[in-house]
Amino acid sequence: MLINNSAGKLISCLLLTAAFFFPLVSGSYMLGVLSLVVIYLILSLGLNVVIGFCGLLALGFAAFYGIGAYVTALLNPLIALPVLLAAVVIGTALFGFISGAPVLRLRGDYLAIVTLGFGEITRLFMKNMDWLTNGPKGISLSPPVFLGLNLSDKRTVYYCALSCVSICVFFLYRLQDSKIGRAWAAIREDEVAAASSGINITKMKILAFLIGSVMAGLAGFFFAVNQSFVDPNSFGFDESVLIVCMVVVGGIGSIPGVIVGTSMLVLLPEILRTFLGGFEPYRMLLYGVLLVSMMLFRPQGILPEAGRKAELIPDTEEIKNDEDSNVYGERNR
Amino acid sequence: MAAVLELNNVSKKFGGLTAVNNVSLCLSQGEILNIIGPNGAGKTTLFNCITGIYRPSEGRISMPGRDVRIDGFPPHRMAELGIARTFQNIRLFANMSVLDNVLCGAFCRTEESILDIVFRTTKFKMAETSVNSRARELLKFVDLSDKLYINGSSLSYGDQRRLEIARALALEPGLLLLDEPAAGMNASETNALAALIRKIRDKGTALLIIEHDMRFVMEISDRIVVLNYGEKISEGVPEAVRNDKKVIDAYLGEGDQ
Repeated sequence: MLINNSAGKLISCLLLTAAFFFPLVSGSYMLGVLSLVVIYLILSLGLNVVIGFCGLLALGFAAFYGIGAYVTALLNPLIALPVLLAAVVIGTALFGFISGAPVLRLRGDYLAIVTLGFGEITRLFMKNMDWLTNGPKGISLSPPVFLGLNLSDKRTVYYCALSCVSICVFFLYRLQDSKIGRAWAAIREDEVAAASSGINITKMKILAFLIGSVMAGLAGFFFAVNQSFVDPNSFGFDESVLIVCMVVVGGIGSIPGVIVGTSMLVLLPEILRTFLGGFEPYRMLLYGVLLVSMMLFRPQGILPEAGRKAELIPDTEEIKNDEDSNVYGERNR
Repeated sequence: MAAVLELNNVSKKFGGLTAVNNVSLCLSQGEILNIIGPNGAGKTTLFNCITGIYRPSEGRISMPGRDVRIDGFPPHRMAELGIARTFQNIRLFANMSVLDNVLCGAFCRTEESILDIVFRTTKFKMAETSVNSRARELLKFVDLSDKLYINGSSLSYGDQRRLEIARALALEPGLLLLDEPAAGMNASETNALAALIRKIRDKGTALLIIEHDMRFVMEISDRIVVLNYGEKISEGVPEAVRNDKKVIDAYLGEGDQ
C-alpha cells in the first residue's frame, strides 16, 4: 500500500489523536510504555529528517539523545524550566553543528562510520568524565516544577511529550512541503545535480542535521524528566540502531510510517513480554529478525512515502560516480 | 553583443594528465557555441570547470557582464550566477515528480526563509505560487505539461532530456550548458531539440553545447570550437571549421604527405 501525502497526514493525525486518548483508559504500567513510545517518536521523527528527508545515514544518533538528557540532568537544579529547555535546544544544536559541519561533506558509508564513532565517543565521555557526569553511576534528578506544570506527574510528562511530537509533526509536514523539503529530496536523489541546480548542499545537510539533533535533544529532556535518572548505558550503540530500525521498518521518509514503526518496535516487546515469560533476553534478536525480513520482503517499509521506490538500485554509471567523487575529493583538496 | 562568459588560458590537470590545456574562449549573449572533438578531448572536463564541479588548475574564468571572476566557485554559486547545465548521462531526481524536478531548479530564485515556511507567511505563499506557475510554463515550453505528476524516471529518454533542460531553465540562466543533448535521439527528436534550442536562444540565453551529431552541430551553431587532447585546435563559423585541415586530421588521422 502506497499512501499519498494527504492520506498520510490523515493517518498521522488519527494516530496522534488516539495517543491523546490512550492514557485515559490505561493504568500506570501502560502509561509508562506509552511515554516511552512518545519519547521514541520524537527521536525517530528527528532521525527521519536526517535519513529519510535528506538521505544521510547517521548512526550515532543516540549521542544527541544523551546530550539532551545530560544537559537536563546537570542544569535542572540550577535553572527554571523554560531556560532549561532553551539550554537543551541550544546545547544539542551546538553539538549537532560541531559534529555535523566537518562530517557532512562525507557521503554514504563514510558518514555512517564517522557518526558511529561520534556516538561512541560521546558515550565514553559520559561514562568516564566522572567530575561532570558522575560516570557509570549516573545522575538522579528531581523533575522540574514550573508555575502550575508539575513534571513529576507521569501523566503531565506524557502529555507534554505528546504535544512536542504533535508540534514537530506539524512543522515537519510544512518543511517537507516547501522548497527546503524539495531540496532535501533532491540531495537524496543526486547531489551533483542538486548542487548544479543552485542548491547549497552543505547548508541544507547541516540544516537537516541540526533539526534532527535538536529533536533528539528534546527527546533526551523528556527521557531524563520521565525516568528521573540518566546513565551512559541508555545512550549506547544499541539505542542508535534501534532508532534507525524504527525509521526503516516504518518507511524511510514517511512521517506516518515512522509513527507506526516506532509504536510497533516499542509496543511489540512489551506485548510479547506479557504473553511469553522470560522474553526480555531475546529482544535484540527480534529486532534483528524483523529488520532482515523487512529488507527481504518489504524494503520500502510498512507505510512508504508516495512516489518513492526502494532506492536499492545499484548505480553502475562510471562517469556519474567519477563526477560524484570529484565534487568531494577534488573540491576539498 | 555583451560577453556572458570568458575563459582565459584555462587548464585542468589530473596528476600527470592534462585534460584541458590552455583553453580560451568567449561567449556572447544569445550565441550558440558548440564544442566538438574526439572522445577524451576534454570537452566534459571543460564543462565541469565552468560549472564548478572541478576547480581549474590554472587560468581564469569570468563573467564580464557581472564583472566577477568565478573559477573555483562551488557549483551552487555558479548556478546562482546563472550558469545552468544538463549532464551527459541524464541526472534527474528520478523518484520525484516532473513538476518537483523543475521546482528544485528554481531553488535559489526565491527568498523565503525557514520561518516563512514554518509559519506559512504571505511571502512563502507568493513565492510558491510564482515558482509553481513558472515551472508549469517551462514544462509547457518543453512540451511536457501533460506529465506533471509522473516520476522523472518513468519518462521516455527524449522526455527526460527535455525535463533536464526545463529544470536548468528554471534557474533563469544567462548561460546554458548542454552536454550531448542529442545523444541517443532519432532524427525527428533531434529536429525538435534544435527548434527548442533556438527558442531558448531567442530569449537571449547563451548556449554552450557539446555534441557529436555533426548535422545537428552544423545546423544550429553560430560558432564552433574544436578540442583535441585538451587543446583548442580550431575555432570559427561552421563552414570554416569544416574545412580546417587540423580538424580533419584530428578526426581522421593525418595522411601521409
